[in-house]
Amino acid sequence: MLELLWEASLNLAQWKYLLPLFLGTLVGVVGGALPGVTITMTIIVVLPFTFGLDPLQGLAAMTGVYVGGSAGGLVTATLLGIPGTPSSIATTFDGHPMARKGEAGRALWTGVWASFFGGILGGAFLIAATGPLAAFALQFGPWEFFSLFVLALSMVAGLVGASLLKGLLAGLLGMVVTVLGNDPMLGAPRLTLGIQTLEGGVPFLPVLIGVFAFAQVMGEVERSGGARAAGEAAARAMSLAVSHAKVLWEILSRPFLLVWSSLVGVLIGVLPAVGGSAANMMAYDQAKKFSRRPEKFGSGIPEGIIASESANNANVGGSLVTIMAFGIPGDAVTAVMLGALTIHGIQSGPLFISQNAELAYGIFAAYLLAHPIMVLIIAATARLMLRVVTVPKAALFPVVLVLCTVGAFALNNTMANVVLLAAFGVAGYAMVKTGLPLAPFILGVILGDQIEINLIRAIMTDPDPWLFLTRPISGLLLAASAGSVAFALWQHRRMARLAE
Amino acid sequence: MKRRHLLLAAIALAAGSATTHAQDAYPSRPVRLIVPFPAAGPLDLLARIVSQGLNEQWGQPVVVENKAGAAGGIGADAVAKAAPDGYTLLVTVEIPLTMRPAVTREMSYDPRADFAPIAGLTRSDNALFVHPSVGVDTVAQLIAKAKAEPGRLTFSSAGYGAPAHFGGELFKTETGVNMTHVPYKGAAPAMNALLAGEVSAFFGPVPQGLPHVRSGRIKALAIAGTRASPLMPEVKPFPELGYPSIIVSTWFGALAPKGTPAPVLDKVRESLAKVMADPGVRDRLGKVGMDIEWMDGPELGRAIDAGMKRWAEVAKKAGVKAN
Repeated sequence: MLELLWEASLNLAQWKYLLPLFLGTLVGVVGGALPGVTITMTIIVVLPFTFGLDPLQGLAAMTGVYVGGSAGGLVTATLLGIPGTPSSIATTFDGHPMARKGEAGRALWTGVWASFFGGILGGAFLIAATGPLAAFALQFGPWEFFSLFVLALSMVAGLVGASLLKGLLAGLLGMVVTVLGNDPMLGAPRLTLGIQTLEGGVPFLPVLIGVFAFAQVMGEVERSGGARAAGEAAARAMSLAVSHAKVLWEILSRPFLLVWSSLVGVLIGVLPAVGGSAANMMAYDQAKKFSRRPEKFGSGIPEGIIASESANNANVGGSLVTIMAFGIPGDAVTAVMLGALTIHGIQSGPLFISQNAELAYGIFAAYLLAHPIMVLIIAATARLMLRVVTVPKAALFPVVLVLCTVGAFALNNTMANVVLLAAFGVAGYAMVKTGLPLAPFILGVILGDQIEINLIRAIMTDPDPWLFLTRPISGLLLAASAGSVAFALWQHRRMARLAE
Repeated sequence: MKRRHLLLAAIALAAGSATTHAQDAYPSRPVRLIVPFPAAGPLDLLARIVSQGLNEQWGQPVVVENKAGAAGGIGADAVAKAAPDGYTLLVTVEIPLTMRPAVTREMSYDPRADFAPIAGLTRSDNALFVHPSVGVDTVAQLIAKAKAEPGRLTFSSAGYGAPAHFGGELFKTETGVNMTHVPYKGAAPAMNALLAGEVSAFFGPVPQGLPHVRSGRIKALAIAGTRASPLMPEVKPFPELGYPSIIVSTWFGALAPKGTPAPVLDKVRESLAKVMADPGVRDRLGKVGMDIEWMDGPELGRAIDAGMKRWAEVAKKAGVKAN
């Protein structure tokens, strides 16, 4: 495998491949940084351009988008507190507070370097264990997915913030949102009010950017309203400078955190249908659980950024596992990438690897090469990006809201999503006002329908309910869920006592 | 490349000048092709090939716009309600027009009254795939196994009312067995469920299963079409096995909103015919399991009628409820 990868890397090191890889990464960083534009959407925009290229050029460009997008999301997440993509939700938890404290440069670069190392570690896991990882992925039936999502949902207990009750309520509200729309298995309409666009359920993206972006913008407007001049003076005093040696040390002196978060990212990436939105939050939750200072999480400490950002780039590596092992896509983004090959007459599947080894390993090589390119691109543009925090909010926020609206529309090219965006924006603002935390809510939205679908699918496949406990991986995951809740409650109590 | 575009555009313009005035004027601005399913599937590929061909002929941008959701209902609805001027066209697989009505109680559009059929372009057959762990090599063995264990065997589909769902229900009613339907979200997850052995069978598109059959991970028992597939010539079609009704063969076509002027429809149809006549196009589509099968407007209209009637009957017979 290493030999093939080496050959593919040498092959890729030609201008005709490096140029599309560079452009793809650049487009990815921009798309990822724009709130409301997801990586999948960016890759679909790039798709038609790849038809005129040779297959490897197209794949290099799209792999660049994938890696660049995963990193680009952190720019908006740290500087504005709005996740640029769903895979950088958890980056806002500590990245934005750190930037607000006047350390925007440090927050940004902690994220960039964590992305870099996470991505490379993800690649290392991939080289070392494609076979076992792929076998692991195949063990996952609906029972295992159900239990995995229950484990993920148990993170709500760790993300609740000050009030346990309000946190659980927010998580529940998030799950209620996923009930809207046609029942995913039998198609019975639920609370659709006869509106056709609601039949497919509420798409995740307008909810995410509605809740985060709108609430964030409103919060900032309120804050800067009275003390406008003071706020902007503070913004100007913000430190854009950064000591790379210090940031690198902060990351590399925490090898366990980095490796563990990357492993969480890879494992979640290997499993089809889970994706980056869950990986970064799970890694964040794990980091908090293992931390000696969990009470500091959310106040702007580097651990939170490192966990989230290393996990989401390692996640990209994980999603390549199913391509390298079976030639089938692991998520929506890789599905578009392999789908694009059909226009060149190349079908995905197990034969894809044996018949097109150059392409399969080319994707892998492009994934690894895209990481240093991503760092270079951000290094070249960091000054510009960091300026964002010094732009007067009155000029910046209208732009952000317009971008969010465009993103919501472009998702399906329908106005309905813009309406949903507005509705959830108001709802998110109301939640912030009433002290309901946003993170558990979003987690509920991400996981609600997955839990439902897999529960029903498991029972349809085999009516025996004990299978959830007797299938080893499923049973283990459920036990971990119980443990996770107990631990989070204990931690919550301890923190409450410390606060007293 | 650019020069070729210009040349083709010039030829198209010259050819167009011989016909009526209305056709000369159309298209004078970009045309949108609405595809009611996500990017990068076989339908999307067809639409992109068509858009490229029309663009070369017309010298106007022809833009593919994916409006996915509700089994194609969202995109179809958008075209049904679009201005009937020929600048918004639907390129779709038959699902939202023939299958969705059979499982949907209140349709927001009428597949017959709201559209002007332009042309049927291609057809794609499904096949019955099974996981090796089921332990059957023929359709007869699968029937025997399903009869021995009623309801125990399962089949996946891309969703409630998807072709694979209808395929499974047809198989059940035609052979008198009982199997359990397990819907997934899209054809890819449905195939993955079969590959992992989570479900016993899947009536999937031929090209989707082909690489996995070749690698021995799944078996193809029969083609749910009237003839063998050139991609899997060794697999017999259901009619040859004594089941003439187990056919899940879907057409792909182009439609316009009702009320689009006839000269515009004619022009689009003529241009589409030229695209489909290109041997290179035939080749590319063949690789994704699509055979070119031309239908003109009225034929496509009759195909919609026949499809609606057929799937409604299948749903009724199999007890598939409309929601």
